[in-house]
Amino acid sequence: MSKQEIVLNVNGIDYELKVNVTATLVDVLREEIGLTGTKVMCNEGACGTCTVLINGTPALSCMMLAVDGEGKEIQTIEGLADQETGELHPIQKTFVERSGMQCGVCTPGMILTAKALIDENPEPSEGEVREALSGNLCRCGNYQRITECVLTSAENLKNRSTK
Amino acid sequence: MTEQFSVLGKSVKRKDAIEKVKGEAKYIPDIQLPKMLHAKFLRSPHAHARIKNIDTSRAEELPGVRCVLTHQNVPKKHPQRKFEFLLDETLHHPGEEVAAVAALTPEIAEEALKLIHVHYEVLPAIIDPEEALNPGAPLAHQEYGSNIYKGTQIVNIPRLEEDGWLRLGTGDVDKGFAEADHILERTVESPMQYNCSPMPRSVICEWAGDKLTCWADTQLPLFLLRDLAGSLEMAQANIRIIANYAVGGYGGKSPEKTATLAAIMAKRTGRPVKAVFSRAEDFIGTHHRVSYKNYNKIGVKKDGTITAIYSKILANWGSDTVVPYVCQSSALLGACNMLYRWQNSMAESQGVLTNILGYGPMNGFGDPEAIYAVERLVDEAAEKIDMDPLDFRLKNCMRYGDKAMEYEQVMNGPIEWGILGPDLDSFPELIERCAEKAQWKEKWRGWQTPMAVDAYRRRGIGVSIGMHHTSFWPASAIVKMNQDGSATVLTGAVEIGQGYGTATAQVAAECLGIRYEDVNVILADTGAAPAAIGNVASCGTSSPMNAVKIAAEDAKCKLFELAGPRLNASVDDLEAKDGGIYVKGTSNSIPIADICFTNWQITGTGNNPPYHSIRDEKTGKVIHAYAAAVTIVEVEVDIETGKIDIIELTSGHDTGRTINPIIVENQIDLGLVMACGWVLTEEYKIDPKTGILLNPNLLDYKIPSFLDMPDSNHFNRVVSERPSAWGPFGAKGFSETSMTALGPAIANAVYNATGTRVYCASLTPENILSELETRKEEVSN
Amino acid sequence: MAQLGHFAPQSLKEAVSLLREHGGKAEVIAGGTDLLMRMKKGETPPDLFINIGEIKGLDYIQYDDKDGLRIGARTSIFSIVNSSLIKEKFGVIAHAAATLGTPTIRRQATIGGNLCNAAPSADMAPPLIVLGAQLKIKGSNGQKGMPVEDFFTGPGQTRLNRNEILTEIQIPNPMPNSNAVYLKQTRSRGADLAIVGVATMAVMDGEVIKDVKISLGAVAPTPIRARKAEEILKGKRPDDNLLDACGESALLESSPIDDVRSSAAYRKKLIKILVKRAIKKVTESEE
Repeated sequence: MSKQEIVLNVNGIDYELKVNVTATLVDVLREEIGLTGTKVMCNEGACGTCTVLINGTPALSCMMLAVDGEGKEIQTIEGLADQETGELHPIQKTFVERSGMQCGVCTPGMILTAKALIDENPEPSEGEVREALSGNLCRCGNYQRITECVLTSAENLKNRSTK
Repeated sequence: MTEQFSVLGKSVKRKDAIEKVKGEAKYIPDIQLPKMLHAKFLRSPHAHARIKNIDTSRAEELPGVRCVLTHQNVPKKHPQRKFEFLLDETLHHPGEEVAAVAALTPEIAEEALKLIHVHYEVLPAIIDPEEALNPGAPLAHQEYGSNIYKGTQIVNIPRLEEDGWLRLGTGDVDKGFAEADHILERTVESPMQYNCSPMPRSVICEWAGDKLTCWADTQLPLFLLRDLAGSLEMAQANIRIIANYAVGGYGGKSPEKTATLAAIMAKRTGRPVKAVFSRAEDFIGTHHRVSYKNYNKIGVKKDGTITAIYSKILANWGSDTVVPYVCQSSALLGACNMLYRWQNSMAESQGVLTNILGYGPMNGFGDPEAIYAVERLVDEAAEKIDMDPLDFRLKNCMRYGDKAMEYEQVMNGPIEWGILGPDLDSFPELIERCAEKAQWKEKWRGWQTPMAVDAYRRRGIGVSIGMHHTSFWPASAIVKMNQDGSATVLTGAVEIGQGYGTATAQVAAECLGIRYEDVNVILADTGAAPAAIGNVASCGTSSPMNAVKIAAEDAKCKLFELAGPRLNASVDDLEAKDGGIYVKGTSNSIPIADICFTNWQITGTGNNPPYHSIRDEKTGKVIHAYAAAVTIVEVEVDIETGKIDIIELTSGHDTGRTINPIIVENQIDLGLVMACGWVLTEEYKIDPKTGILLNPNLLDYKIPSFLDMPDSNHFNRVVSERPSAWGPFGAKGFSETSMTALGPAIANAVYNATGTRVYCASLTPENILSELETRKEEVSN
Repeated sequence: MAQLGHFAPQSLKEAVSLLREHGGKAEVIAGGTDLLMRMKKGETPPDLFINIGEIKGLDYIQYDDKDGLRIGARTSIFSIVNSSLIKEKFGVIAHAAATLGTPTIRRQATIGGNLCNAAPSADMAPPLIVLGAQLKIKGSNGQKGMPVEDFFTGPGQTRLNRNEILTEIQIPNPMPNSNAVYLKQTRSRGADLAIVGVATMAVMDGEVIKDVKISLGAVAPTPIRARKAEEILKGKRPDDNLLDACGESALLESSPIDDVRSSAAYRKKLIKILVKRAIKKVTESEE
């Protein structure tokens, strides 16, 4: 199995790595870099749990070769809070305040997908939220709550930016 | 009702929220230990086979492999309450473990599995449970001698009769049927369902000398502890199970023998061993919801009185189970002594062994499976007498004072009927409130009258009630006061995602009169916390949390005893609030922190009172622990494709006392989404010849998504709070109950929409279309 | 064990040259979702991944009155869904793209990838077929074209030679008075492969069907045209009997199977229903 030397930029930090060519991004994030915030539920692109942001747009990290991540800005859930102060991102705050999670496994993927949605569409309707997150499965059935959290987050972010 | 509390009844932030939104919560697969090895399992490709020869030499020689286990080099032990051994020479279902490998990386371990050569002698297998009862059918377990389960050397079900049937009844069903104006009967199967925990099963075992630490994704640390201690022949005291951040088990999630095998490999290699199942492996190597073939017969009078019910349940056990007869006991109650005021009832169940993966408990534990059939037949009975199905439920549903029993008595005896407590007057209340919320009176147009017809689309409305026990079991808890007046709660319960730690902290904070933020809950660490079964059977709120309340009250008593002399007051005149001990009605107080600083041995302990000590004041009878549910659903059916869409959903649940409203709502949603998946989209497809699961992946096993559930404008939750006789502040677990009513409600709504009764198990489009066509043919014949 | 590598060529020329050099040991990936899926199901990975993700000039949506719509093969499904140009003039393509996978998968998946993976249920195929789309393929021998309809040879198999790359999909301008639709039957409302997919296009002359095309997915080893069903409709006014006959014919032209997703029996029922509904949709006058 040949290894390739790559540099992955994750949450603003460059990591020099030697990875198997067939290694997926999620495996390299979790096992090589040690960022275990990205979770694995199905490992074959069916559940959205492993979602990270690549150049700001959502991508399934289990369905991407790690080597394909070179030259791109990768953001995992660990990179969402303010990297200096540790302050939670407004979406994270809303999920905390309104209990937007149960077991928490789908939560990182949900939050990042929601962030990408709100960045592109600052005033999503409920239908648009549900559609945008339709590839993220929650076995704990928290769909109603998560939808509310995303709508509230969008509202909070809008109000914050208009101040 | 909740205004008198300071923290109870409030939607406080969850204790585990911040780490979960930051990705810092360390679940078992996230844990990395130095020198850790990775375990993988070789699994049987056959439903029934004997290992004639197994050669692991090439696997052992593969660089990076440190240990290989087969039936030849592990002790012959039964994992708790099971037929099979840890690793067996004879394999009884596809996917059963044949060998285990521990290696430096998961990839090397996988590679090693390919190098293990096994010669199987394929044995005759039995897949279909009805065929399994035919004389001459292959035996699922050849040494057992029968495909009817009757207990084993280590499992005894006292009330299981000689003929292999477990029975329960009241009154006289023959008399009841004789009195009926109409008798109806029906056979309906309930489908299997895969638990689909968001994280596949995982465990890490590490030894320090002769002491074992096991990080286990389990909701049952107590059982796992017994299991490990028994299999490894060691004292429970020397095993520490840590199960924080267990993940959505939805019933019975535990590593079972995976933990023991990992522990053995860790011992032999001197290194920690981690086993993480792949998703496909989790499908075939854990357990699933049992499937029942339900035969029901019901007698009704013209005025809507139910005179009798008879139920016969054939359960497809698969090859083995961790919970022999537990689900059926619950189901027997579901089939004859729950939901309605049955005057005369009889239910019997038999467990049939087959060579498929064995069943285990899953959300609802036998009740949704039985209620799925009963509530559809009840709907037919209501139609027979031309009574509004909602009025029928309202007339007959159980309430305070109706006879009830705890399901363990069904298995073990003695049969002693108690009653439902005043909290179950929530049943009629929920029916009425849900009816109002769902606008039933406006939307129900009568039998055989759909709400709307538009080309090939039909719209209909249906109702069902549901019920489930919320077990009150032994549990212990400790509340220790820290020197600054904050409190640490030690409980054997498990946070499986439902917000358990949060609610527990609210209860303790409320009792102690301190801030919620100043309570920390240590869960699921058998080295630190006293015993509780864990979280299963909706016992969490009822049982371990109740013990926590008792422990907090105990700690408070000790605070009072220390504060009294300093405040010049007797303990009866004291109260705890706002972080201080106050003389009631005055501002005379001492900060709790003050008391704790000088008296740091303040530790409260709590043990639940025995179950039978919870008695009704009026009658002296034991009050049994149940929760009620009512679901009204509107569906749209495409009668050409068979597709069902949920258009409006109203569901009512009783919580006893709502500790945290958001958490309650989240739990209601869990049951509803799971029920939606169970009957509409999730198909557990087993090959009828080989017993192999054909769709062990999430592309082809479809759990509901955001788009499969109605949006907020079409979804209502109704909550009733009538404090139960047990449980902290009267709160009770109800999350399984929320699963019980939606399935049959959908079937009943499909009838209203299409005018066709569907009797299929899964309500998938293909099945619905087939049913519509079959009934059409029957009518024209 | 074979040497594995991952190259990201900077130009098509380089990509083609790599393909020529490594023959059957290399595989082209763009988003890579289909290939990774197959690898996870146990397929041996190629010796060489040729990642065309960095090649400029493969990701575009262009339109002119003469040639119609031209989509670069590496254009993401997401871009197609959100292109107002496509939504307005070639709506069926945007609509089909919106049913493919999940919103996140649509960002990684490409139209070229969907076609080259050649699943019998490929969502982009039936709509492209009924619109008469053409493919541009570049190889070491130069460039060639072929109709989408002729591209598929079997499940997972296409006419692409080892040293060729799909570069563009070209869709001619829709005829006046034409409508097209794609109906996809799935098992749940979340993402799913089609258990039956039907695309139709009709050109109307008043109430008479002047021209019609029907393409089916997931009911044969490849996406197919139902030509006999089309002939039944041409020159006629659609009514229930005609639609029944059309659906029946489409059924006879397909060969659905039992698989883990659905049964042949159910698929047969769906084919008739969906063809009827799809024809109705494209032949009914707009209100």
